[in-house]
Amino acid sequence: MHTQARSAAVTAACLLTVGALGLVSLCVGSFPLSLSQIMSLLAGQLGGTMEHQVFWQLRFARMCMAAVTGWALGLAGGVYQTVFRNPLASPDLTGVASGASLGAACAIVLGAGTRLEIMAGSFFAGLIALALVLGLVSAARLERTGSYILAGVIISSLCEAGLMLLKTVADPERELAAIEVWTMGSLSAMTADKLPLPALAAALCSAALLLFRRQTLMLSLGSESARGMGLDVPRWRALLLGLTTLMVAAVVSVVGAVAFVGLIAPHIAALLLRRRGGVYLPVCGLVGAAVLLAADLPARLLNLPLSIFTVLMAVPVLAMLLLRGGRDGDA
Amino acid sequence: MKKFKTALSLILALAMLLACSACGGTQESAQPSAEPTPETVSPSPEAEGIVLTDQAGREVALDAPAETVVSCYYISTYAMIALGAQERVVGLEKKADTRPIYSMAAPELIEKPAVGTMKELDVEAVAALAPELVIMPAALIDYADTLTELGIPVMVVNPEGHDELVEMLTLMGAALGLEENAAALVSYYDEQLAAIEQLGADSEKPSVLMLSNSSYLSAAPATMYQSSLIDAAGGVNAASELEGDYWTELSYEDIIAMSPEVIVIPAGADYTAADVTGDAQLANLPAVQSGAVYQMPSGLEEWDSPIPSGILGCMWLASVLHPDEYSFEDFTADAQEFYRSFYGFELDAALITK
Repeated sequence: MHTQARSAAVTAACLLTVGALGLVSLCVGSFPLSLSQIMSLLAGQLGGTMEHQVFWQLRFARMCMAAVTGWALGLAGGVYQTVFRNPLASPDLTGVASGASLGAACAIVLGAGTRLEIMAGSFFAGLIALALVLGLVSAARLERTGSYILAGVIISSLCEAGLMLLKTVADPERELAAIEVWTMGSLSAMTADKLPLPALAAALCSAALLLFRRQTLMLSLGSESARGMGLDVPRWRALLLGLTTLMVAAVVSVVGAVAFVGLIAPHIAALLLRRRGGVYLPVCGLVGAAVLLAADLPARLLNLPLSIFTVLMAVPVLAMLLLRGGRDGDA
Repeated sequence: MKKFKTALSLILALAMLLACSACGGTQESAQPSAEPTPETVSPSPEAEGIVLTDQAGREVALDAPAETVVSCYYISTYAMIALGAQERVVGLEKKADTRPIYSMAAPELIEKPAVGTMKELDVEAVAALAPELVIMPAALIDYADTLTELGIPVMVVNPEGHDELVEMLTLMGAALGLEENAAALVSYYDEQLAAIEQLGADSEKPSVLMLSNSSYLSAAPATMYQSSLIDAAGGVNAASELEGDYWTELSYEDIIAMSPEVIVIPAGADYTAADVTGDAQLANLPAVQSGAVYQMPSGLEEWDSPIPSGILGCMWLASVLHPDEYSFEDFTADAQEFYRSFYGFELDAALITK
């Protein structure tokens, strides 16, 4: 198939999948809402009823947040894998996920553990983790991609140690349970008023990242080539990573840490598109949204954390990549 | 370079926007109140309905005593039974089938819809049951506002100790219109505590080590409810020097240094008294030497916790520590009487062990 035709077909298919999963997710939940009721609600009827409240406050908000979170993590994963030229790069790499987890745990154990504190704690700790990674890289005066990965590992490990310490001193019935829920990700406490902030952050950051996708691609050619093309490599790398971190921290502060979406979405996108250019980044976001919407269906029916299902979905994808990699070295 | 500066200002503006929204705006949830506030539990005389202040300091307004209740916490579900309101429960916490007291006192509860755990609540499932009141633990407080916005009143309870348990029962009694039942339970507690206080007045208090549920190499420090249970029953907590506010890890050396005269294993322990007495490292402890290693009855309720029947834990320990003044037979009869009058069922005496 011609490259452009394939890109158009894949984008359309992804959009359709996300739309279909979104519709299905509007119909799934513990509160009994019939299809006709949902149609009426979508048409703006049934105002003032419990059905109206449950649908718009809970179910619709949950569906939107699942899509936004998946999009943000998928897109972030795509940017990381491109910038780092590493198929294993994901938001966890720069210590953002561990930093955000540590921030949330601090809010739970040392603070009052209110939703607001957890959001602020994870958001700022995620940003601090990135700042530390960038600081380490700049102190080392090494611009190689490998330095970012190593610095990310160092900061992640530090955050993990802090998290272990907090888990040890946490009261198991309340604080430890809250940390566990947070580090496995959940949309069960999602309400409409929690949606605007992460949605706005994801929209603005995505717009900027898509605007700068030429720079992202230039970075993927390696520092030397990018510099040859007139790019200020350290600055652009820091800026692109900063934007993705901001986006990841904004969604993760509400949903908690969701495993593997940022890792597998870019691989699925690359498998579908057979290249990492053109519409690759938006397709990464769409695949991420589809993965998260799909994972949230069993998660809400069984009242289980999201990460259980994202990991279950990631395993076959990663196994397939491994087998393909063994055959043609393309992974 | 210009493009880079534009991009940089964009990211800075965004960060500031997010920081501002994260720092202000949303209302802080109130913290669970440490002090019982009995004056706030009586229904407001001016209002037609019932207005209460729950244990998170939130206002709970009801038009009338709640006839349908979703209880998201096993301790509040126990309290529904103890207050004689089990038939008003329309939904409850998960894993109800693992609580032996439900099958004995209110088997219908096991068939009711389960709405969540201490970690997560299925808000849609609660809304579908359209209860007149939802009672939840402080751990689930994030869900309280969501349910309140759906028009469902929520009472947050936090029975961390005896006083908070009494406050919870009084609040629930007021919300259910069962104030007399709550008062009867509370006066039973007061009577029993006063009676226990008289025991062993002339003898030296024995040192008691209260082990944890998960391992006999961890125990209750001074700040835990279990420690106050030992004090009330006329003992001294052998682990009172320990830091921390939850089960604290111990080494063999620590336990030997504490040299407890009595060892108590809580109701939900994963091990038995034989495991403790059979451990060669502990063989020389006074408690092991004298055979004073006791386990709370495991097939009933968590008597070592602040639950409505927690007073029985105190009475059980008192009879263990002062058998001459309060025999185990007397305690067994008292426990049967407690369940008969407050839970409405006849407890098999064989389940009451030590």
